[in-house]
Amino acid sequence: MNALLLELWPLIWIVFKVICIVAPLLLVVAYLTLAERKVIGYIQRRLGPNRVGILGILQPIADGLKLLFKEWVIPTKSSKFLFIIAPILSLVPALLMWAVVPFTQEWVLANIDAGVLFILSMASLGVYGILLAGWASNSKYAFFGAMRACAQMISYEIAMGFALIGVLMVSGSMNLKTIVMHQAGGVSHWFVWPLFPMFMVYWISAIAETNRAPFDVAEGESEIVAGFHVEYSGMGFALFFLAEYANMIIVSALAVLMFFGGWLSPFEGFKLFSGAAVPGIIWFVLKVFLFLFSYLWFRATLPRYRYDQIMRLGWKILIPIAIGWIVIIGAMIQFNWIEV
Amino acid sequence: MLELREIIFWIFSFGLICSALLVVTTRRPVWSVLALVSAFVCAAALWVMQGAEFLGLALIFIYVGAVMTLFLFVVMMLNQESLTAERLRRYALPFALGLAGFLLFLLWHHAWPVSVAASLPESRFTGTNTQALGRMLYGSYVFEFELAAFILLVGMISAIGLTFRGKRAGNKAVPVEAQLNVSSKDRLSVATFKDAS
Amino acid sequence: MATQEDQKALLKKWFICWTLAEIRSGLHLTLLQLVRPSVTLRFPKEQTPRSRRYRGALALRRYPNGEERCIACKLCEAVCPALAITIEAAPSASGQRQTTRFDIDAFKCVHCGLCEEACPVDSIVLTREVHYHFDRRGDNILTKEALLATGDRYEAQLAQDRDDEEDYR
Repeated sequence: MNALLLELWPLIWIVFKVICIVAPLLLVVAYLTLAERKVIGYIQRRLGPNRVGILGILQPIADGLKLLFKEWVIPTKSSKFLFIIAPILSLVPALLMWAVVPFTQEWVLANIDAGVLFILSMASLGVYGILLAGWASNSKYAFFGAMRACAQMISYEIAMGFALIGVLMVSGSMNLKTIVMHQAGGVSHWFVWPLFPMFMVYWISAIAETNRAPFDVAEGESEIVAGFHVEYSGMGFALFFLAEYANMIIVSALAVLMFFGGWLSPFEGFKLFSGAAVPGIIWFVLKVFLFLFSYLWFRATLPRYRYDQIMRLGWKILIPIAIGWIVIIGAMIQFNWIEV
Repeated sequence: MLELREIIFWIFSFGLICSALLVVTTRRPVWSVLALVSAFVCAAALWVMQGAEFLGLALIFIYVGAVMTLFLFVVMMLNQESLTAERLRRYALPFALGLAGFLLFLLWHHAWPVSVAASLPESRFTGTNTQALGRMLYGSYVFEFELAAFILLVGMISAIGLTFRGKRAGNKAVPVEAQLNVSSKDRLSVATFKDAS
Repeated sequence: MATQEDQKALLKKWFICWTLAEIRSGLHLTLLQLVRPSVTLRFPKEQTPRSRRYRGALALRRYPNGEERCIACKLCEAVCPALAITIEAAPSASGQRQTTRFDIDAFKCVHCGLCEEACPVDSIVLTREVHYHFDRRGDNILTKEALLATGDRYEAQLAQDRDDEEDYR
């Protein structure tokens, strides 16, 4: 018995760590929905939800319970198996990506060499959930939404990948931990400065990749009702919701890791306040929250893009900028203008 | 007792074979594409287990994430009743059987019996997997690699050439450039009226 | 051949385009709105103020001595565009004209306020009250008793409002 436990111990330890990542993540997702409604509310000079608990603090829990107890309607003539499996397929990759994210120098579940590639490939798997949901629903709105989402995600994946290649070139590694450690030495050493156009390309395509406003034609409430998840109710809808917000968080985390020095303090090397006393995880979370806020801020500010303009932006502007900057980075590395 | 690694290997190999079989046996095209996706994922997992994590993840990123999505796109838009399997079966079946026989022969001739442990020869390169792959592609196989890239480029251009027929008359699409170059002067003019009296 | 102004305008356009100037100004605006106080009223606790001339629930008023104002002239019945008012009259014990029946169908009423204008004795009025409802079918027919009860409840307010509006009537 003892021997078996000893043998299984690594497995149990991993499961424990997974729970330690996923449980706070889901909590953040829940409160991100509240934050979204609050922030957009305040920007529109409303109050946002304020009835459940003090200042609406229990609203996400109420929403969750409501969705949990709702009936899961399965449309007639839908492909039942695919209909049920689609939300799962969209949530699982969103959670899987956290396996390689280093929260601090020590806190990382799987410190694999090709961490960036892992995140990109898992992000690309997320398309299937959306595509299958749209097709299996047997509804034209859902199908339109899925088509739009799918084309958009594939297009912007390319721009996003190219933007990240710049970081890989400068840091010479695909391991997220190594990439962050390359940015040590305070705010001026972060990759966002030499790679600023890349960062812009990354962030714009990240917003498009997660199908958020102003690139939310996949949902397009005013044209195609709710896009790919129009036929989903109850927990199926909740899973899509969770996946969308989990994707937002991972994309923000990736931006922080790649361009903003991950868990490193921005004041490293400053005499007065080096920030070393603050644990790395705090810096990491703060930076991620900043990006999440910008998501909400953009949504409250910008109107929805027209579909052909989204495609034009992705293919004719972002990808050429990214490729051009890759060449420039190559030249800079060749002539030792930036340290590798 | 089996090692954990080995259990995972068998799970994914079994999954790979099952999904590969499903690709050709199922009659529903969407399922067929999905089975192919699952086969790719299983194959990628096997590659990762053998230490080729870059290759495995690239397989998922490129094939599963992009190529198969486009496949699925096309298949979903097809009218599914119009696919007649009759003619396909008459010609494709003997061909498929012959190809399978040939591959089995190759396998038997070269690699039988297969052992799980020693499936990959000792790497000739030092450094990480990604560096090894890079040296391989841009070192010993650079000509083939560039040739493949060139063929893909030709394919892309020819596909565009086949489908793009120039701007059609009566096309009402708004050119984005023209739209962006509009200024308030183009839309609004202030009229001045002379005093009528 | 482009003139110098054209080139300048083009340069400016490019600058605006590539520095995302318009998007930045939009974001700046929304950020300013974020820190401004909200204009929402927490409804049941806080309510928007209503005008003295607000046309809410219907009521019948009395004189300060408790006598009904209504003299059954039926002007309101005549003027009502929705035909919501039904009046029957008979002499009272003291020999005055008085209504025996004064029904208003609240479902027909459009709250136009013409009855109030027509009334020579300020009997039928529209109060400021908007929070009322009917539990059962049939309750929508407001009887004389119900209307008088409403009038009694809001009398202080109604009298005050009419005093304040005296100059404009």
